Amino acid sequence: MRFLLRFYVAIVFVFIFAPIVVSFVFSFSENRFPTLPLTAFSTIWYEKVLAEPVFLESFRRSLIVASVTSVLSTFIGFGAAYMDYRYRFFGQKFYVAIGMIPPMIPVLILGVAMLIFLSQVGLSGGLHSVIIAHVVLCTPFAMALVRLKLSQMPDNLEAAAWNLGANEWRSMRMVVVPFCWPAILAAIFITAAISLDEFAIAWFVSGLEETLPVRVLNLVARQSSPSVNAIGSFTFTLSLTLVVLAQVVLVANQRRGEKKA
Amino acid sequence: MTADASATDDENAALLRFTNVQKKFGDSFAVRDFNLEIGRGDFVAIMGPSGCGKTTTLRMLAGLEHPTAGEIRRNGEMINGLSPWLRRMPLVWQNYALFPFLTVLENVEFGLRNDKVSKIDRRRRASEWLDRLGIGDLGHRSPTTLSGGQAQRVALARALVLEPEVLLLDEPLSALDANMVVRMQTEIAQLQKALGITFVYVTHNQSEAFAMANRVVIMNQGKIEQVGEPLEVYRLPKTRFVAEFVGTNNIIDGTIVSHSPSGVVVETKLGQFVSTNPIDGTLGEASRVHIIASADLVSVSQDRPKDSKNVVTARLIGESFAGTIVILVFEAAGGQELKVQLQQRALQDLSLDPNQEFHLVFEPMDTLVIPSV
Amino acid sequence: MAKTKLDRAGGGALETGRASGSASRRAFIGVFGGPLVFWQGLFFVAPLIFMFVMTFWAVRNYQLSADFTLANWQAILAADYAWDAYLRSALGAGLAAGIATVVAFPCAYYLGLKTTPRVRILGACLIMAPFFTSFLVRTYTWRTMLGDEGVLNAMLGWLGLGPFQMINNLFGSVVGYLTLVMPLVLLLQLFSISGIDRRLIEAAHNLGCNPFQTVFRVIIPGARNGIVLAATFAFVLSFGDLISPQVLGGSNPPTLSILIVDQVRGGLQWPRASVIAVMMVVTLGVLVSLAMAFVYGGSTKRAKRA
Repeated sequence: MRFLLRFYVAIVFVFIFAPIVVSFVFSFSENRFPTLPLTAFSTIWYEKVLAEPVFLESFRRSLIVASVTSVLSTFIGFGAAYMDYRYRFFGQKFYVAIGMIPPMIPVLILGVAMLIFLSQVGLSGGLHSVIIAHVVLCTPFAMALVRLKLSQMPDNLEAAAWNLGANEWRSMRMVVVPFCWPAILAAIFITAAISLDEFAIAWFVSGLEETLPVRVLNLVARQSSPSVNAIGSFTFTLSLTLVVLAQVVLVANQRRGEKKA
Repeated sequence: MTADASATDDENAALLRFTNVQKKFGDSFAVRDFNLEIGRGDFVAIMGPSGCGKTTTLRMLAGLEHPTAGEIRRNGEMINGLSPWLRRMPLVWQNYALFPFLTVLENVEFGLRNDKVSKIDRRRRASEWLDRLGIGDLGHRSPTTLSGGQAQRVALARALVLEPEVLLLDEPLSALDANMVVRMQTEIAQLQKALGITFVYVTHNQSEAFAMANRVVIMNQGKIEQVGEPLEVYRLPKTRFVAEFVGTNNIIDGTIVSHSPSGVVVETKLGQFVSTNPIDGTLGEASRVHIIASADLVSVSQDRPKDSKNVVTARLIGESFAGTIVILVFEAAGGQELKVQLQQRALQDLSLDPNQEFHLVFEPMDTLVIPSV
Repeated sequence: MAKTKLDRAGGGALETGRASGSASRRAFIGVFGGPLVFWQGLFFVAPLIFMFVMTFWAVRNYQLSADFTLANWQAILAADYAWDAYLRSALGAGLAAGIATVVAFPCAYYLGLKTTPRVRILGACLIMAPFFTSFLVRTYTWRTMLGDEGVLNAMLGWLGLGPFQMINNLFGSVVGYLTLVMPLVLLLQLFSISGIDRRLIEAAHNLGCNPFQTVFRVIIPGARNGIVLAATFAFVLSFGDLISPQVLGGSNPPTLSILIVDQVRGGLQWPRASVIAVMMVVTLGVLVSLAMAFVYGGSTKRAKRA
């Protein structure tokens, strides 16, 4: 019984990981089409990607978008989470809702709405459009992460800071931000990872300034190209690095606390 | 309720003065009709059951709540709406509220940083306070690794390093174990004497309050029930609530029959009682009153005393041992419960059988009469 | 305890600073609370509202012009191909939500209750890994694997089976949807199952339930909210997904998402794309409200009964 269950779990995980692993493996295969048996090990597809300035250019754009997006959405998300934590005010549910709802709307629809709106106000067709849209999409994740951390903040910690002479600005800087710091870092990395991977909205609003995933989308839509595997493996590694970095920071933070013991 | 009589009318004499202070949360009063003066160097304990408004009162002093009516003045200056960071009345919190991301030393320096004290100077002052409280070796630890007693000392150091006029303490010992409580009580009391500053100490624990404070404020349902020196409040409760809350008192309902030079005579369902304690002059004949007698001032005997007044016959229904002290519970006529508190040693002279009848003697001078409200 | 909460929430904190100048306090709230209202109001709420307005606009000579016409609505609502696409999208999304829910449950059950905490955390981390890989690349890889010449058909061929057509049809789309939603469904189910009070399960065993009965009487009811929420999310994501039907489904006949892209790409038919988008938003809005009503309504009813 237990064995059957384990076997079943293994199959489900195979389904989840098959495309990731296969893509990774075939990115090092010489053959143009992924078939069995595997042909010789080769880094030809990586070389091809690196040799094409289009890819590097789109990657550069993605990096710009991701870094600006992560900082902006983490700041907005932090502020919003703090408002929700600290105050009780009229319309609070609505406030939280506009903060949290965007990821529940299909990105396709967000993309269309953004395209229509941004082109109407003359903001479409550039990296700034992608940043605008990605901040909308990423803020909720930052907000949720920080809100979770704030709910663990001991009662009175902020009041203790005021009581010792720190006004609201100072206690924000000296108490709230340090307390939430791990969550803030995690939010920066995770929003960056989301932005790096987002293609639907970017496809609608980026115009000629293709980001990397948009470039991949256009490739995939047209023909088979093993370059996709190479790019995929590369971005996967990058995203995973960001997430692992977030984890390392968190753990290091904890360690530091423990070492003081 | 008026402010206590020992304070003078000179406004400058009172460091802190509450005048008709009221605090409402929604429709319910957390604090009402609150009048109190606190002088320089006082150790005031505000005591009452949970929800009585004592913590709200303290938070109003710290500026974390603002009165909905009335005035709070410090040195004559109104501070009702003053922001907490401008008050310099540090608070020692029940859960310590130490900053977990700072070291112990950095915690103590926190207030000095807000004062823009130079780094060297604040480090020196913080270290001095840690040394003074016997935790000089903990400076580089994280507060999350401290024991309750250590954390409480850090909290004290963090507050006192600011050299405040007033220190606020909110149930600071409630999270400590019993041995530690007694030690910290002594230390806090000595500290207050040595520093000569005002301590306002909120607690629900009467032994803490009586052990340290020189004035005790008893609160109930947002109002002050009684203010006075610890012994005075303990021996002469002015209201039924105080009699129930402080110490172990017997409370018997009755009606005044007569005033005479030898005392007041009160008729109760247990017979007539005579009290020689001075009473509220407004209580005339036929006033509804309570007889109050502290359990440790009632004596028990198996034989009926010959010429004694205020003797009640009651049946022993239970006993509870608490260390060297024993509380005997009796039932008298009409189901009236009476308690007697004795030293363990005194018991050896009595043979205690359940349901046995005893004679309880209430000395007229130890019997109080208070109005029934 | 409740009192402390009241203090903080009920205005204690709100009142601080009244005397120190409410200008500073307003600035404080503005700096930290304002950006969300500004950004999401301007770039989230406004675009959605504007998209709705756009459904009444007209396109003349390849130029958008502000108008109030119902023509776009009439055109879409009267078109059979639009309703076909609607049903196809709903069918694909429904299949994906249903299959993902059923397939994920035993996994979540195993990881949540039948294994050591170490394995559970490892499992949860593994489930999260796909979130950080490109969904595009994963669907692309499925296409190469499921194609007529692909790895899967090659393996089946060794067994003397096939070849089967596994892409450019509904099967392909659903594989894509599952790739998209499976990790999320699994994770949400895992969270809700881990949240079940273990004493309830022990009590059930103690009262003589066998493992199967325990699953149906304790675990599924206990994790009901998480399961419903996960299925709803799965439907929402699949319903709006563009990539699976395009890369794996062959994009013909189209789903709603493909229709939208066609309308946008093929000559500025933004008003019609908006009509379809609004139809999708309304559909999903109704569905999510129903799910929420089920989740929260159900729990209050239970609480009342208790």
